[in-house]
Amino acid sequence: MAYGMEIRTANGFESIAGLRSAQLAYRSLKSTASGTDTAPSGFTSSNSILALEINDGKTPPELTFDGSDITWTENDISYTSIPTSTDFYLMVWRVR
Amino acid sequence: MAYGFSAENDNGEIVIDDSLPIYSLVDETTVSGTTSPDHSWYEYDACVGATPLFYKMPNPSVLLPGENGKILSGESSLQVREAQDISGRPSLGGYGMEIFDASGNMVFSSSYDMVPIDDQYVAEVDYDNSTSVDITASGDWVHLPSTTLRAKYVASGSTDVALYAFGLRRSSSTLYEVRGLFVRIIATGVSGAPTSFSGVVKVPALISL
Repeated sequence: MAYGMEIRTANGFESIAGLRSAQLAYRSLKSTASGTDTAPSGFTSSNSILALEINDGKTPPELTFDGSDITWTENDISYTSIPTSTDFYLMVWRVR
Repeated sequence: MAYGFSAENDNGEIVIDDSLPIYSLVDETTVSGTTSPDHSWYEYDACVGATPLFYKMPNPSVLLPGENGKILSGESSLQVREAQDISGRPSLGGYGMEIFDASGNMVFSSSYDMVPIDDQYVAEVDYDNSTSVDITASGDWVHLPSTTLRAKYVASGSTDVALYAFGLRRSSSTLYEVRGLFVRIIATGVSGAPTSFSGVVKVPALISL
């Protein structure tokens, strides 16, 4: 390359100029089927995405990310025997 | 920024800085799915511990959330990339560049391969499953970071309840279709339930190059 900076990626060396990364901005263990939390300052639904890590093998909660407020609610699937998870990590990944 | 380190892309978006750990590639391999309880799908892990998994979606194929925090696919095996936030990996020292945050956690290392992201997407599709939303993306690797499932009646007047999961169907090398996909019948002979549905389901996806 003539100028700039290249880094190693899963696809070989690439210029920073054309890359996006996923960065872990927030990770918090949750133990209730519903609740609210606040994303760290500066992370919104326009530059970040919510992620889950389910620890108990149950149904993921529904998530909303309104501004900086994160809400998770019990999934209202009827007739299924698998309840909503009460043991999961809620994460915020910055992408943009 | 007043001090520290930040590297941005052409859009002015931070790719690396001295505050947040990037996700790096741990392994790339091929895994076999586990047959789902009703034998309609193959199940795959979505995360193993703190390591999110990106699956390479063949064209055509589908990827959708399961009831148990896992991912469903019609493919019996898939290529997978395991990622990990780099703060959980050891500093290799020697030569190259490593960046640490104010607490001494490693947030970047030139010794590890970064997982390159195409983009994040949050598609809004109708709960009634009447519409789909197209995502134009050139990346092959998909992680469904938070999952959404819904139950609905198979057809107006029916007494069978079906489970739908809102996920991705890859329809070409550059096009993904977001929509509700039938998972299985979860109840039969149910009466008195609504036959119409309204509302919007938000379906997030993270696509990697």
